[in-house]
Amino acid sequence: MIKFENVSMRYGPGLEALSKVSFEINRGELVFLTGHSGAGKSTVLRLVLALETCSGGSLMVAGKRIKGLSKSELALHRRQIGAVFQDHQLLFDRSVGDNVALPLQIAEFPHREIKRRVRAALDKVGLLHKETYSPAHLSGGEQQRVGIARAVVNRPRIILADEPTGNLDPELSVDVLTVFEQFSAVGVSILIASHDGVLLSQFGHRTLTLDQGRLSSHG
Amino acid sequence: MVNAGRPHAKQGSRRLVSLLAERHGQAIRQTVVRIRNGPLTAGLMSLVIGVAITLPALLVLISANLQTQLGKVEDMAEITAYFFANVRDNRAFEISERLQTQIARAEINYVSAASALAQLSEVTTLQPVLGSLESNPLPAAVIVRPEEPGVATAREIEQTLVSLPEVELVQLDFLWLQRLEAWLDLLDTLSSALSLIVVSGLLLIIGNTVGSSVQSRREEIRIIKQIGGTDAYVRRPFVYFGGFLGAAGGTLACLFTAAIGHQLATAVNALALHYQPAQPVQTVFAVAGLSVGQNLAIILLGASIGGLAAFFSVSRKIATFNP
Repeated sequence: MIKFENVSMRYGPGLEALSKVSFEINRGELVFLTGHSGAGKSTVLRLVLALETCSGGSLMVAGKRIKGLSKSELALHRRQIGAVFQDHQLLFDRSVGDNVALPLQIAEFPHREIKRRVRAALDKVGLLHKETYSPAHLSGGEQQRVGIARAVVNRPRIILADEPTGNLDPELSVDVLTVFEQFSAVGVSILIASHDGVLLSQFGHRTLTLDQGRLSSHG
Repeated sequence: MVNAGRPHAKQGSRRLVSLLAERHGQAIRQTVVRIRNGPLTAGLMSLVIGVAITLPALLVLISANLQTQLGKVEDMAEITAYFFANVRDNRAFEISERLQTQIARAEINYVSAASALAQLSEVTTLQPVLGSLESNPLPAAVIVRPEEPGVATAREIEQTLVSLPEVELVQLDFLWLQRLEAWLDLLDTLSSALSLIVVSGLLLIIGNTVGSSVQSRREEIRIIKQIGGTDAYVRRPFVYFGGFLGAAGGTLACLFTAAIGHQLATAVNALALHYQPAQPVQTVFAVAGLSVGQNLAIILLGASIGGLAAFFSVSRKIATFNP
C-alpha cells in the first residue's frame, strides 16, 4: 500500500531530513514509526500525504507514484488517507460534529449519510455527547480524539497518525490504539508515528526506527 | 468497508442532480454561516455596491423617461403657415379648406387673426398690452399636424405650404426635437460609460473584499486541502459569497432608484404646475420607475459581477496556498 524506495528529503544544502529510506507497508498492516524528535517521522508522514514531494527516490501509495500527480489527482489521493495530526488541525469556528463531517462533505456524501457516519465515528472515540460543542471547549485529549474521528470517518484505505496518543492518558491511549487495530483488521494500512515506548512494546506491531533521517531498524 | 474517495463510485444509481444539489447546497449553507458570522461586513459591502450601481441605474431611469416624454412631444409636432397680413380672412379660410384635400393624413386647423388674438388674451398678463393696441397685429394661420411624425413628412408639407403665394412664413418645430434627441443620445453614451466604470470598480472592490476574506481563512483552507478538498471545493462558498454581495447590492440599488424616482416624480410635477397657466392642454408628467425586468436585470448583473470577481480573486489566491 505504501512503498518507499531510497527516498531522500532535503530542505536545503546540508539539511537532510531523510536519506535513502526504503520500506513497505502492506494492506491491513499496522506499523509503528519511532525515533527521537527530529529523526524525520513527521517528514515520512507528510510525504505519504503528498504535502511535500521527496527530493530523491520513489514513493508509491496505493499503486500510484506520487510524483507527477495533477492537482485534482492529489486531492483524490488525500481523500483515501485519514490523517491524525500532532496539533489536531481542527477548525474552531465550527462544531465538533462539523469538523468530523468535513472529509465527507469534501467527498460529497449525501447529507443524511454524513450525519449517520459522523455519529458513528464520534461514538467510536467516546465523544458522541460532545457533537455540538466547539472544539475550543474541549481538552487537549478530547481534541486529539476528534482528530482521530475525522481521520476514520471516511473509511480511508490508509491511516497516518502523528503522535496520536501524545495528549492521552494511558487508558485512553490503549482505547485509541484498539480502534486503529480494528481498522487494520478490515484491511486499512496504518502508520503511526510515536515515541511512546511503553505503548509500542505493549501492542507488539512491526516498528520502524528512524535515526537522523536513516532507517536504523525494520522491526 | 473500504470506500474512500468519491462516494458515487459505490452508489452508481445516485443521480447527478442530487450530487449537484448536495454540492451547492453545502456551499450555500457555508455562505449563510459566513454572512451570519459577519453581518456588518456583508451589510456595508452591499451598501457600497448598491450606491455604486444606483448611479448608472438613475441615468437609465432619466433617459427612459425623457425618451417617453419625447415620444409624446413628437406626436405633437406641427407645422404652422402664417398668411400675409393683407390676405383676407375668408380667402385664408378657403386656402386652408383646399389644403385639407391636398395634404392627406394630417389634421389641419385654421386659426383666424381674431381667434389668435382671443387665445393670446387668455394669458392674463398680456391683457393690458393687447388692450392698448389699435389693430390686431396677428396674422391668420393654418396649423398642420401630420398623423405620422417624421422629418420627411414634415418637409413635404413644408414644401406645399411654402409654394402658396399667400403664405408669408412657414415654421417647422422639429429642429429643436432633433437637438433634444442628440442630447438624449449623449445622455445614453454617458450612462454606458458610467456603467463600464462602475462595473470595473465593483470587480475590484468585491475581488478585494473576497481576497481578504480568503486571507483570513488561510488556516481553514490549508486544512481543507490537507484532507483532500479540491480548489473548486474551497472556491465555491467564496463565489457564492461574492454573488450574494452583488445581488444584495443590486437589490439595494433598485430600492434607491425607486425611492429617488419617486422623489423625482414629485419634483417634476411641482415644476410642471408652474407651466400650467400658459398651457392650453393640461399635461401630467408621470415619472415611470424601472420595469420589473430592468430591476431583475440589475440584481442579476450585480450577482454575476460579484460571483465573477470572487472567482478570479479566490483562484489567484489559493493557487499560492500549499497545504
